[in-house]
Amino acid sequence: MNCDAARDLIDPFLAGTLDAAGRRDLEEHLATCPACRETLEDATALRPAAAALPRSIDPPHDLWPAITRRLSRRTSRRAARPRWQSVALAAAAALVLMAGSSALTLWVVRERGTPRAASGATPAIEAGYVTATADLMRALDAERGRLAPATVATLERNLAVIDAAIAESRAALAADPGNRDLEALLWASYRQKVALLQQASRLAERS
Amino acid sequence: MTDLVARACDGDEDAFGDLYRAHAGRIFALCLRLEADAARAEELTQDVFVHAWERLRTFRGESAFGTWLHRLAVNVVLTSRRSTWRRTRRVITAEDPAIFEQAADSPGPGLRLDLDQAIAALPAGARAIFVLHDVEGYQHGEIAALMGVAEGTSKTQLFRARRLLRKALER
Repeated sequence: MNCDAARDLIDPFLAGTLDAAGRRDLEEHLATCPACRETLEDATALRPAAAALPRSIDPPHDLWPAITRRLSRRTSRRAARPRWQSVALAAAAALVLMAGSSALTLWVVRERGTPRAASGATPAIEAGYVTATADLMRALDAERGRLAPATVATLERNLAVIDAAIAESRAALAADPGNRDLEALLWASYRQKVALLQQASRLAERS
Repeated sequence: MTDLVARACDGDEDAFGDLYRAHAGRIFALCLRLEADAARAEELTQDVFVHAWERLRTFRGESAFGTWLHRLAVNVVLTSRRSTWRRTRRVITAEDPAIFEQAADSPGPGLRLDLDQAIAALPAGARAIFVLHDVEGYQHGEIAALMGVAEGTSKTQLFRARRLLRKALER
Protein backbone atom coordinates (compact mmCIF):
# COMPACT_ATOMS: atom_id res chain seq x y z
CA MET A 1 0.00 0.00 0.00
CA ASN A 2 1.35 3.45 -0.87
CA CYS A 3 0.96 6.64 1.21
CA ASP A 4 -1.93 8.07 -0.85
CA ALA A 5 -3.95 4.90 -0.41
CA ALA A 6 -3.10 4.74 3.29
CA ARG A 7 -4.15 8.33 3.90
CA ASP A 8 -7.48 7.66 2.21
CA LEU A 9 -8.13 5.06 4.90
CA ILE A 10 -7.24 7.17 7.93
CA ASP A 11 -10.60 8.92 8.34
CA PRO A 12 -12.68 5.75 7.81
CA PHE A 13 -10.32 4.03 10.29
CA LEU A 14 -10.93 6.70 12.94
CA ALA A 15 -14.66 6.74 12.19
CA GLY A 16 -14.80 2.96 12.72
CA THR A 17 -16.14 2.32 9.22
CA LEU A 18 -13.08 0.55 7.80
CA ASP A 19 -13.41 -3.20 7.29
CA ALA A 20 -10.99 -5.71 8.83
CA ALA A 21 -8.88 -6.12 5.68
CA GLY A 22 -8.52 -2.36 5.31
CA ARG A 23 -7.54 -1.99 8.97
CA ARG A 24 -4.89 -4.68 8.58
CA ASP A 25 -3.45 -3.09 5.42
CA LEU A 26 -3.38 0.34 7.03
CA GLU A 27 -1.75 -0.90 10.22
CA GLU A 28 0.95 -2.70 8.20
CA HIS A 29 1.67 0.51 6.28
CA LEU A 30 1.70 2.65 9.43
CA ALA A 31 4.23 0.31 11.04
CA THR A 32 6.77 1.27 8.39
CA CYS A 33 5.79 4.86 7.49
CA PRO A 34 6.48 7.67 9.99
CA ALA A 35 4.89 10.30 7.69
CA CYS A 36 1.54 8.50 7.60
CA ARG A 37 1.73 7.87 11.36
CA GLU A 38 2.04 11.61 11.81
CA THR A 39 -0.96 12.16 9.50
CA LEU A 40 -2.92 9.72 11.67
CA GLU A 41 -1.84 11.57 14.83
CA ASP A 42 -2.98 14.88 13.30
CA ALA A 43 -6.38 13.43 12.53
CA THR A 44 -6.66 11.74 15.93
CA ALA A 45 -5.95 15.04 17.66
CA LEU A 46 -8.13 17.29 15.49
CA ARG A 47 -11.26 15.33 14.57
CA PRO A 48 -12.80 15.13 18.06
CA ALA A 49 -11.87 18.72 18.86
CA ALA A 50 -13.46 19.93 15.62
CA ALA A 51 -16.59 17.88 16.20
CA ALA A 52 -16.91 19.40 19.69
CA LEU A 53 -16.87 23.02 18.49
CA PRO A 54 -20.10 24.92 19.16
CA ARG A 55 -22.41 24.65 16.16
CA SER A 56 -24.12 27.93 16.90
CA ILE A 57 -22.57 31.34 17.56
CA ASP A 58 -24.84 34.33 18.00
CA PRO A 59 -24.02 37.22 15.66
CA PRO A 60 -22.70 40.25 17.58
CA HIS A 61 -25.65 42.26 16.30
CA ASP A 62 -29.28 41.47 15.50
CA LEU A 63 -29.14 41.18 11.70
CA TRP A 64 -32.89 40.88 11.18
CA PRO A 65 -33.60 44.65 10.82
CA ALA A 66 -30.94 44.90 8.09
CA ILE A 67 -32.30 41.80 6.35
CA THR A 68 -35.87 43.15 6.32
CA ARG A 69 -34.58 46.47 4.95
CA ARG A 70 -32.80 44.60 2.16
CA LEU A 71 -35.91 42.61 1.32
CA SER A 72 -37.96 45.82 1.10
CA ARG A 73 -35.28 47.64 -0.88
CA ARG A 74 -35.01 44.83 -3.39
CA THR A 75 -38.73 44.86 -3.93
CA SER A 76 -38.93 48.64 -4.43
CA ARG A 77 -35.75 48.79 -6.51
CA ARG A 78 -37.07 46.22 -8.94
CA ALA A 79 -40.09 48.45 -9.48
CA ALA A 80 -38.44 51.86 -9.51
CA ARG A 81 -34.88 52.05 -10.77
CA PRO A 82 -33.32 51.00 -14.07
CA ARG A 83 -30.72 48.49 -12.98
CA TRP A 84 -28.24 49.25 -15.72
CA GLN A 85 -27.28 52.60 -14.19
CA SER A 86 -24.47 51.28 -11.98
CA VAL A 87 -22.86 49.32 -14.76
CA ALA A 88 -23.33 52.18 -17.20
CA LEU A 89 -21.46 54.48 -14.83
CA ALA A 90 -18.67 51.97 -14.39
CA ALA A 91 -18.54 51.43 -18.12
CA ALA A 92 -18.33 55.15 -18.75
CA ALA A 93 -15.41 55.30 -16.34
CA ALA A 94 -13.83 52.41 -18.19
CA LEU A 95 -14.20 54.21 -21.51
CA VAL A 96 -12.49 57.30 -20.13
CA LEU A 97 -9.69 55.23 -18.66
CA MET A 98 -9.20 53.21 -21.81
CA ALA A 99 -9.17 56.28 -24.07
CA GLY A 100 -6.46 57.68 -21.80
CA SER A 101 -4.66 54.37 -21.75
CA SER A 102 -4.59 54.22 -25.54
CA ALA A 103 -3.11 57.71 -25.76
CA LEU A 104 -0.59 56.80 -23.09
CA THR A 105 0.46 53.71 -25.01
CA LEU A 106 1.13 55.83 -28.07
CA TRP A 107 3.06 58.36 -25.99
CA VAL A 108 5.16 55.68 -24.30
CA VAL A 109 6.01 54.09 -27.63
CA ARG A 110 6.87 57.33 -29.37
CA GLU A 111 8.39 59.57 -26.74
CA ARG A 112 9.67 57.73 -23.72
CA GLY A 113 12.80 55.76 -23.19
CA THR A 114 12.35 52.07 -22.55
CA PRO A 115 12.88 51.10 -18.89
CA ARG A 116 13.45 47.35 -18.80
CA ALA A 117 11.51 44.92 -16.68
CA ALA A 118 13.92 43.09 -14.42
CA SER A 119 11.80 40.11 -13.41
CA GLY A 120 10.86 38.62 -16.77
CA ALA A 121 7.56 37.68 -15.10
CA THR A 122 5.28 39.11 -17.79
CA PRO A 123 3.86 35.80 -19.14
CA ALA A 124 3.07 34.52 -15.62
CA ILE A 125 1.45 37.78 -14.59
CA GLU A 126 -0.62 37.96 -17.76
CA ALA A 127 -1.65 34.33 -17.36
CA GLY A 128 -2.98 35.21 -13.90
CA TYR A 129 -5.04 38.07 -15.30
CA VAL A 130 -6.29 35.99 -18.23
CA THR A 131 -7.40 33.22 -15.86
CA ALA A 132 -9.04 35.68 -13.50
CA THR A 133 -10.97 37.47 -16.24
CA ALA A 134 -11.97 34.14 -17.83
CA ASP A 135 -13.30 32.91 -14.45
CA LEU A 136 -15.21 36.16 -13.99
CA MET A 137 -16.63 35.93 -17.51
CA ARG A 138 -17.85 32.38 -16.83
CA ALA A 139 -19.47 33.48 -13.57
CA LEU A 140 -21.06 36.44 -15.30
CA ASP A 141 -22.28 34.29 -18.19
CA ALA A 142 -24.06 32.09 -15.66
CA GLU A 143 -25.86 35.14 -14.20
CA ARG A 144 -26.23 37.11 -17.42
CA GLY A 145 -29.92 36.34 -17.68
CA ARG A 146 -30.52 38.29 -14.49
CA LEU A 147 -29.23 41.55 -15.99
CA ALA A 148 -31.36 43.85 -18.09
CA PRO A 149 -30.61 43.68 -21.86
CA ALA A 150 -29.45 47.31 -21.82
CA THR A 151 -26.98 46.46 -19.06
CA VAL A 152 -25.61 43.52 -21.00
CA ALA A 153 -25.24 45.61 -24.17
CA THR A 154 -23.42 48.39 -22.30
CA LEU A 155 -21.19 45.89 -20.57
CA GLU A 156 -20.25 44.11 -23.78
CA ARG A 157 -19.58 47.39 -25.60
CA ASN A 158 -17.18 48.50 -22.90
CA LEU A 159 -15.52 45.13 -22.52
CA ALA A 160 -14.73 45.39 -26.24
CA VAL A 161 -13.10 48.79 -25.64
CA ILE A 162 -10.99 47.39 -22.80
CA ASP A 163 -10.03 44.34 -24.86
CA ALA A 164 -8.93 46.66 -27.67
CA ALA A 165 -6.74 48.57 -25.21
CA ILE A 166 -5.27 45.28 -23.95
CA ALA A 167 -4.56 44.17 -27.52
CA GLU A 168 -2.93 47.52 -28.28
CA SER A 169 -0.67 47.32 -25.22
CA ARG A 170 0.21 43.72 -25.98
CA ALA A 171 1.14 44.62 -29.57
CA ALA A 172 3.30 47.48 -28.35
CA LEU A 173 4.96 45.16 -25.82
CA ALA A 174 5.59 42.56 -28.53
CA ALA A 175 7.45 45.23 -30.49
CA ASP A 176 9.30 46.40 -27.37
CA PRO A 177 9.51 43.49 -24.91
CA GLY A 178 10.33 44.32 -21.32
CA ASN A 179 9.19 47.97 -21.49
CA ARG A 180 7.92 48.46 -17.94
CA ASP A 181 5.77 51.47 -18.80
CA LEU A 182 3.93 49.41 -21.40
CA GLU A 183 3.60 46.55 -18.94
CA ALA A 184 2.11 48.93 -16.37
CA LEU A 185 -0.44 50.08 -18.96
CA LEU A 186 -1.30 46.48 -19.81
CA TRP A 187 -1.82 45.58 -16.13
CA ALA A 188 -3.95 48.71 -15.65
CA SER A 189 -6.17 47.58 -18.54
CA TYR A 190 -6.52 44.11 -17.08
CA ARG A 191 -7.29 45.53 -13.62
CA GLN A 192 -9.99 47.71 -15.15
CA LYS A 193 -11.47 44.68 -16.88
CA VAL A 194 -11.45 42.70 -13.63
CA ALA A 195 -13.08 45.61 -11.78
CA LEU A 196 -15.81 46.01 -14.41
CA LEU A 197 -16.57 42.28 -14.45
CA GLN A 198 -16.62 42.13 -10.65
CA GLN A 199 -19.05 45.04 -10.49
CA ALA A 200 -21.28 43.42 -13.12
CA SER A 201 -21.18 40.11 -11.22
CA ARG A 202 -22.11 41.80 -7.97
CA LEU A 203 -24.96 43.58 -9.72
CA ALA A 204 -26.18 40.30 -11.22
CA GLU A 205 -25.99 38.56 -7.84
CA ARG A 206 -28.10 41.30 -6.25
CA SER A 207 -30.66 41.32 -9.08
CA MET B 1 -42.63 20.74 6.37
CA THR B 2 -43.33 22.57 9.63
CA ASP B 3 -46.12 25.09 9.92
CA LEU B 4 -43.57 27.89 10.34
CA VAL B 5 -41.72 26.93 7.16
CA ALA B 6 -45.00 26.54 5.25
CA ARG B 7 -46.11 30.03 6.33
CA ALA B 8 -42.75 31.50 5.31
CA CYS B 9 -43.01 29.75 1.93
CA ASP B 10 -46.38 31.49 1.52
CA GLY B 11 -44.71 34.88 2.00
CA ASP B 12 -45.29 35.38 5.74
CA GLU B 13 -42.34 37.62 6.73
CA ASP B 14 -43.04 37.22 10.45
CA ALA B 15 -42.73 33.46 10.09
CA PHE B 16 -39.49 33.95 8.18
CA GLY B 17 -38.29 36.19 11.02
CA ASP B 18 -38.91 33.32 13.45
CA LEU B 19 -36.92 31.03 11.17
CA TYR B 20 -34.12 33.61 11.14
CA ARG B 21 -34.04 33.67 14.94
CA ALA B 22 -33.99 29.86 15.08
CA HIS B 23 -31.15 29.43 12.56
CA ALA B 24 -29.08 32.67 12.63
CA GLY B 25 -26.54 31.31 15.13
CA ARG B 26 -25.88 28.19 13.09
CA ILE B 27 -25.47 30.14 9.86
CA PHE B 28 -23.33 32.86 11.46
CA ALA B 29 -21.02 30.21 12.98
CA LEU B 30 -20.57 28.61 9.57
CA CYS B 31 -19.88 31.95 7.83
CA LEU B 32 -17.52 33.04 10.62
CA ARG B 33 -15.45 29.88 10.43
CA LEU B 34 -15.30 29.91 6.63
CA GLU B 35 -14.35 33.58 6.34
CA ALA B 36 -12.51 34.23 9.65
CA ASP B 37 -13.91 37.76 9.71
CA ALA B 38 -16.83 38.70 11.95
CA ALA B 39 -17.97 41.71 9.91
CA ARG B 40 -17.85 39.70 6.67
CA ALA B 41 -19.65 36.83 8.40
CA GLU B 42 -22.45 39.21 9.36
CA GLU B 43 -22.76 40.40 5.76
CA LEU B 44 -22.81 36.84 4.47
CA THR B 45 -25.37 35.78 7.07
CA GLN B 46 -27.61 38.57 5.79
CA ASP B 47 -26.98 37.42 2.21
CA VAL B 48 -27.91 33.85 3.12
CA PHE B 49 -31.28 34.86 4.58
CA VAL B 50 -32.04 37.24 1.69
CA HIS B 51 -31.28 34.42 -0.78
CA ALA B 52 -33.31 31.99 1.33
CA TRP B 53 -36.33 34.32 1.29
CA GLU B 54 -36.13 34.60 -2.50
CA ARG B 55 -35.73 30.86 -2.98
CA LEU B 56 -38.21 29.59 -0.42
CA ARG B 57 -40.58 28.69 -3.23
CA THR B 58 -38.03 26.13 -4.41
CA PHE B 59 -37.93 24.45 -0.98
CA ARG B 60 -39.89 21.25 -1.35
CA GLY B 61 -39.49 19.91 2.17
CA GLU B 62 -37.47 16.93 0.93
CA SER B 63 -34.87 17.67 3.61
CA ALA B 64 -35.17 19.56 6.89
CA PHE B 65 -35.31 23.34 6.46
CA GLY B 66 -32.09 23.66 8.50
CA THR B 67 -30.26 21.28 6.15
CA TRP B 68 -31.52 23.15 3.07
CA LEU B 69 -30.51 26.50 4.62
CA HIS B 70 -27.08 25.20 5.61
CA ARG B 71 -26.35 23.99 2.08
CA LEU B 72 -27.57 27.31 0.70
CA ALA B 73 -25.24 29.11 3.14
CA VAL B 74 -22.22 27.09 2.02
CA ASN B 75 -23.07 27.93 -1.60
CA VAL B 76 -23.51 31.63 -0.83
CA VAL B 77 -20.15 31.83 0.95
CA LEU B 78 -18.25 29.86 -1.69
CA THR B 79 -19.93 31.67 -4.59
CA SER B 80 -19.12 35.01 -3.02
CA ARG B 81 -15.53 33.90 -2.59
CA ARG B 82 -15.32 32.64 -6.16
CA SER B 83 -16.88 35.68 -7.75
CA THR B 84 -14.91 38.34 -5.91
CA TRP B 85 -12.28 37.58 -3.32
CA ARG B 86 -10.56 34.55 -4.77
CA ARG B 87 -10.24 36.04 -8.25
CA THR B 88 -9.02 39.34 -6.95
CA ARG B 89 -6.50 37.41 -4.89
CA ARG B 90 -5.41 35.41 -7.89
CA VAL B 91 -4.75 38.61 -9.80
CA ILE B 92 -2.71 40.01 -6.94
CA THR B 93 -0.98 36.68 -6.61
CA ALA B 94 0.12 36.79 -10.22
CA GLU B 95 2.28 39.75 -9.33
CA ASP B 96 3.24 38.49 -5.87
CA PRO B 97 3.10 34.68 -5.67
CA ALA B 98 4.02 34.64 -1.96
CA ILE B 99 0.53 35.82 -1.05
CA PHE B 100 -0.89 32.35 -1.81
CA GLU B 101 0.73 31.05 1.33
CA GLN B 102 -0.18 33.91 3.60
CA ALA B 103 -2.45 33.06 6.50
CA ALA B 104 -5.57 35.12 7.06
CA ASP B 105 -4.42 36.45 10.40
CA SER B 106 -1.09 35.10 11.49
CA PRO B 107 -0.82 34.98 15.28
CA GLY B 108 2.30 36.10 17.05
CA PRO B 109 4.92 33.51 17.99
CA GLY B 110 4.39 31.67 21.25
CA LEU B 111 0.75 32.62 21.48
CA ARG B 112 -1.47 29.89 22.89
CA LEU B 113 -4.48 29.49 20.64
CA ASP B 114 -7.80 27.80 20.97
CA LEU B 115 -9.04 25.79 18.02
CA ASP B 116 -11.33 28.45 16.55
CA GLN B 117 -8.51 31.00 16.61
CA ALA B 118 -6.16 28.50 14.99
CA ILE B 119 -8.74 27.74 12.28
CA ALA B 120 -9.07 31.48 11.59
CA ALA B 121 -5.32 31.70 11.03
CA LEU B 122 -5.27 28.94 8.38
CA PRO B 123 -4.80 29.83 4.69
CA ALA B 124 -8.28 30.36 3.22
CA GLY B 125 -8.46 27.26 1.02
CA ALA B 126 -7.27 24.87 3.72
CA ARG B 127 -9.55 26.57 6.24
CA ALA B 128 -12.66 26.09 4.11
CA ILE B 129 -11.91 22.42 3.53
CA PHE B 130 -11.15 21.75 7.21
CA VAL B 131 -14.35 23.51 8.31
CA LEU B 132 -16.52 21.71 5.78
CA HIS B 133 -15.00 18.27 6.43
CA ASP B 134 -14.05 18.11 10.10
CA VAL B 135 -16.51 20.62 11.59
CA GLU B 136 -19.52 20.34 9.29
CA GLY B 137 -19.18 16.70 8.23
CA TYR B 138 -19.11 17.09 4.44
CA GLN B 139 -17.41 14.34 2.39
CA HIS B 140 -14.48 15.06 0.07
CA GLY B 141 -16.61 14.44 -3.03
CA GLU B 142 -19.16 17.04 -1.90
CA ILE B 143 -16.44 19.54 -0.98
CA ALA B 144 -14.71 19.06 -4.33
CA ALA B 145 -17.97 19.74 -6.16
CA LEU B 146 -18.83 22.77 -4.01
CA MET B 147 -15.40 24.34 -4.28
CA GLY B 148 -14.63 23.40 -7.86
CA VAL B 149 -11.45 21.51 -6.97
CA ALA B 150 -10.30 17.92 -7.46
CA GLU B 151 -11.16 15.44 -4.71
CA GLY B 152 -7.44 14.80 -4.23
CA THR B 153 -6.93 18.52 -3.61
CA SER B 154 -9.59 18.44 -0.92
CA LYS B 155 -7.81 15.55 0.81
CA THR B 156 -4.37 17.13 0.53
CA GLN B 157 -5.62 20.45 1.88
CA LEU B 158 -7.37 18.70 4.77
CA PHE B 159 -4.18 16.92 5.82
CA ARG B 160 -2.29 20.18 5.48
CA ALA B 161 -4.85 22.04 7.58
CA ARG B 162 -4.71 19.43 10.34
CA ARG B 163 -0.92 19.56 10.38
CA LEU B 164 -0.91 23.36 10.62
CA LEU B 165 -3.57 23.33 13.34
CA ARG B 166 -1.76 20.74 15.42
CA LYS B 167 1.46 22.73 15.21
CA ALA B 168 -0.35 25.92 16.18
CA LEU B 169 -2.13 24.30 19.14
CA GLU B 170 1.03 22.66 20.45
CA ARG B 171 3.01 25.88 20.59
